[in-house]
Amino acid sequence: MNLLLRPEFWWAALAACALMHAPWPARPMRRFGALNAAALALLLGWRVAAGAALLALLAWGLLALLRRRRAAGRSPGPALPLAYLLLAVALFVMHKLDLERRAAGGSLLPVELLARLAYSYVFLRLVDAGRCVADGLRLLDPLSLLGYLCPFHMLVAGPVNVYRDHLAADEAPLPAPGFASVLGGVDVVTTGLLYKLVLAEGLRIFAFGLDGPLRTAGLADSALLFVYLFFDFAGYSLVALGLGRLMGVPTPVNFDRPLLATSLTEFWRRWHASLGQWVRAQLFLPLQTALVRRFGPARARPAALLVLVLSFTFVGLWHGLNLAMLLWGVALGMALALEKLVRDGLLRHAWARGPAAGRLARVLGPAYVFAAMVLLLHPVWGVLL
Amino acid sequence: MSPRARRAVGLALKVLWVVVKLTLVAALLDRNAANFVYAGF
Repeated sequence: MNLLLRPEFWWAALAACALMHAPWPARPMRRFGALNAAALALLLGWRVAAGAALLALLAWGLLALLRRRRAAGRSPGPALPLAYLLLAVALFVMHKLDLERRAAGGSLLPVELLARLAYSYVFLRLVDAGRCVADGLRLLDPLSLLGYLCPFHMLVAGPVNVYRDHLAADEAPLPAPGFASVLGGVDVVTTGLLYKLVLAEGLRIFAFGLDGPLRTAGLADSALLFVYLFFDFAGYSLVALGLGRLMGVPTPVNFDRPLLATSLTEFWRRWHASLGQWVRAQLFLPLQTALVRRFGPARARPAALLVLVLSFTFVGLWHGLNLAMLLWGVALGMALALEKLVRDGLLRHAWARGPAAGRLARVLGPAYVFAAMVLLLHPVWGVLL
Repeated sequence: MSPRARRAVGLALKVLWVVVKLTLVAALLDRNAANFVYAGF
């Protein structure tokens, strides 16, 4: 919220939008990298910007070594990928533990830099970039990589941008902005501001008072907070999406009308979709493939259910490195696995595949999803907020 | 209505909608106004 209310953020965004389309000789993502570094220094101070640059340089160095070994025809061995992953995971654990400590009223590890860079998202981007480069995709230069890892317009609440998209945008000329495309971007940004500052804040003030703390006592509070969280999070995501479109920087859609989902599975495809896509690409599919290869296609179904629970356990831990979020992730994964079993069982009957059942699902489905999410989120509001 | 006129009307309506949203955001950034609108009822 604070960042969106700071005039420097909007000046930086305006300058970046204008300068991205100015006739510079540099590739688009290197141009963004340079503008982004300046924006980070302006918004977070030069120390945090220098820290982010150092992180990008370190990641780039490890990935460049990996590529050089590959190009020389040598096997990269386990040391380099392991060092890269250890760097990403160690920083993630430090970041999360520090956030836990701060929530408890102290700070064991003074890692302000990681918190200010929203490292939870940077971690996901590091893994994506590492995996893509290991698969043979081109490695961006350090400045462009900094723009991918720590984009200033995604500092508040993501979304998780995709390395392949960033690479594709670097290789194509930036489309010239027209009146309609600029208006489209401004429309998305203003819808995001409306969601966050009018609808989410309005609901909060209406329910809890102008300066009142968010209550998490009963299920009614939980339902209100769920709607608040949607407008809050979707609002931030829309601001980032609109600014990304205006600058020509790939920024994924994060919310696709999740409150209209008819099942929990569909809900998680529509809610924080960029995280869902990351989990699917980096965890779900590789784990499922490995399990099916190990135990054979006959066990594909239990393997899929197990991987579903494991993936959501990771989602829980990504939100908070504590027992409550671990159990929340397991519960969420089990709820989805149960839903899949019931759904598959129902779909064996002809009536469940008919148009009447489809219409009924469209009416009752969103109510079921809303109730299930309110119940599932109720025990962890204290940790999430 | 010609497709060009329809497109122009569409863009004009979008501009109007952007102005409405910005007005609401600007109004609600005023804490007193926010308190009156949301908590006053």
